[in-house]
Amino acid sequence: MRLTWATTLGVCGAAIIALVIFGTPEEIWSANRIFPGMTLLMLVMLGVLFYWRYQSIKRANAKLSDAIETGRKIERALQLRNQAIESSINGIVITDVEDDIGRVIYVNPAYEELTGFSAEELVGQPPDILRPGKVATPELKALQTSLTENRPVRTTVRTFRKDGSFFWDDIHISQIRDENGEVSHRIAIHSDISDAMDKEIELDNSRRALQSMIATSPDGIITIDRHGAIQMFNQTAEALFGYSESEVIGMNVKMLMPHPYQAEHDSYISKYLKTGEKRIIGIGREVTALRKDGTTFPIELAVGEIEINGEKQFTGFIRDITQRREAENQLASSQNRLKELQSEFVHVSRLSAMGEMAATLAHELNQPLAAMMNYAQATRRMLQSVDSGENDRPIELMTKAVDQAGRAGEIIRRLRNFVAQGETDRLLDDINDVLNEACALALVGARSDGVETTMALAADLPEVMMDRIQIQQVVVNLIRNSLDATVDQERRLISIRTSLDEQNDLLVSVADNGPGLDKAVAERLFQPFNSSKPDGMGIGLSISRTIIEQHGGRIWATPNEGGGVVFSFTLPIGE
Amino acid sequence: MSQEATVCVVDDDEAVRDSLQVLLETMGYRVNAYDSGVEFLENCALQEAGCVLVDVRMPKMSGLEVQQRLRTDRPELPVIIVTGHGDVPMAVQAMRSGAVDFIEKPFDEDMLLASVESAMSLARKSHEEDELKASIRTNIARLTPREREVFDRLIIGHANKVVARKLNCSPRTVEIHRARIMEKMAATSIAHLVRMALAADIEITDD
Repeated sequence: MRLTWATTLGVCGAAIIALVIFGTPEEIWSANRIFPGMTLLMLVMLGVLFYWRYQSIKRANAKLSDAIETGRKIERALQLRNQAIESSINGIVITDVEDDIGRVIYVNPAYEELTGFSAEELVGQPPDILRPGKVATPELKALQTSLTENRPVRTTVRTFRKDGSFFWDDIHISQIRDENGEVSHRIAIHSDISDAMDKEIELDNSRRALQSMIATSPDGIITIDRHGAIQMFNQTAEALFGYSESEVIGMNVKMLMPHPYQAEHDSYISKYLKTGEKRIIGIGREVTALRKDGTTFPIELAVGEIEINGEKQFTGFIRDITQRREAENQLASSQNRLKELQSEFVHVSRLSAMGEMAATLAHELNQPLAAMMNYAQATRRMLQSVDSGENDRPIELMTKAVDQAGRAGEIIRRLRNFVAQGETDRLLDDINDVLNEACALALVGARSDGVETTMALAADLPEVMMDRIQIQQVVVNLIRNSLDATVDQERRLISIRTSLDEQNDLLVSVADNGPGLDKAVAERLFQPFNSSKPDGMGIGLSISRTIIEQHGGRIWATPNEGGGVVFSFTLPIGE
Repeated sequence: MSQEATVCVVDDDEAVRDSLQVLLETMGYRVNAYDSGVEFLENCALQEAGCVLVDVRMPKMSGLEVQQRLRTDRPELPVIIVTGHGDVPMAVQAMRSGAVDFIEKPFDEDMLLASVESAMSLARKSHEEDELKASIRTNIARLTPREREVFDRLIIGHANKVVARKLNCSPRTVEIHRARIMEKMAATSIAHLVRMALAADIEITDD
């Protein structure tokens, strides 16, 4: 029942009419008990009506107040939002949808500040971003798509300020729809992310620089996680091992190791993780690596450790040391060869010394022996010439003496045969080659420090029959003598020369700039047991002479012009 | 040159030198001993020497050097090289340079004897040859110039007639010359004459 004022008035009016018709209230009262009842009823109804009306008015008031209050709240909220928009540091642009692109109807101060444009310049214009004529980057395309498809979009573009500079603009555009669901407005939120962008660009540059370093590193670089699974495998590693990165990513690094390391690597990692004892990390080691094709090669391995997001990772730097190993081996074997030569030399020198001693002994012994035999034979002849039987016994005894002397001679002969170098050690050889080896041996050691050695070896010299080791002994002897001679010289000069002499024999000479020979020394130069210093390597001039003479050559010494001595020897070319 | 040629012993070792001299003397040779090559070359009357025994290993001048010198000074003198054991290369070189023999110490007397004797006979032979040569030359020198002309052509082998024609005289003249030549030269035949001419190393010319 709608309790309107009309109803209420109507009821009151009816009451008054009733009074008028039916008289005064006393009349009404006296007239009829029903009537009073009805009047009472009417009064009560009036009261109720008024009460209801009062309530409804009260309610309406309340609603009104509510509505006003709500209205106020909304207004306050709107104001708040407005303030929020106004004070946001993000630029906010609201456009309508006039001509599809729309027109700017509002820009907040932040946007003004971001772009340098004032609101007056912007409002009523199409939004700057979407103005036709802009370069069609993918970002712009995305924005345009959002327009046509009426979907929200978020992208990053360069937004240009009024002064021509730009900033990196993180734009978020969303649509606002009316009660019919049609897009009525668009709201774009702009954030200046230049700082973050710059940082990102910087980070990206660093990342690319790092990647380039890793890619172009001359060492192979492999990173693994704590389980040994390969995380990264650079190009050099690919080349070294023969695997492509995709083949090894995720696989356990032990596949790159030969046995027994392969079986033990996992335990190496776990032991380190448990104990923290560094066996190779930060230390480096030479190990063997296994290629895809099954071959192995030596490497130098350095391992570093990093923690990323709380996870331990290990980086291995791999250097192929095959060439270094080879060089080391070659050096070692050259050194061994040199040592071998040295000991062979010493051995043969000793033999030669022995041989020379035996030869000297034999020669020295031969003299008295020959004299003895001559005397004995002469005596026997004298006794025989006297034709008398008395001499038979003496003759017999003389014969015995001669026989014994002969026996002694035989013994000496055999001794010399035993130690003498036979002619079978002779071969055709190149003297320059022989000399080079001998020089290397002779110049070894501190004795030859500071010595300038000149080698003038003629080319195209014919090969000659010689005992290589013996001739080298002679050369070493001569060079060492020269070294000794030049010990006190400021500039120590030794010169070695090969050539052909006038008789077309090989001529070898060793010259020094020492003090030279004095006459007394020069005369006894080649005699046995004459030298002052015995030396494991040297054999003395006497032996040298024996050797050269046995080769059919000559050996002699002459003064060096400018000071010093030249020792020369010849070797005949041969039959 | 005296009848008995001498053996020259050159050795720096006194005992060897002396004992060798003794031994050779018991073999009947005259021996002169020298203690060095220098002494030998300076003092030895090379004309009187029959052969030389020289030790190859000596200071100052080696046996080989002595031998080289003798080759220039007196090439017909036989040289025997005395070697110690093992000096074979040197000995071979000595032989190539013209030594007639080499002998090793200690000496076996038979080998020594054989060696020296063959050297001496060589010497003798060459001495004899020298003497023969000298006497032939003397004889040739005694021919008159005309006889010499005839002689030169006869030893080529020309007949008397040819010689006569070449020398522009009569064959009878040639015959007379020829008889005188034979007498002076003490030759028994033209062949003998030719041998003598060869032995004497005469220059033979033809015209």
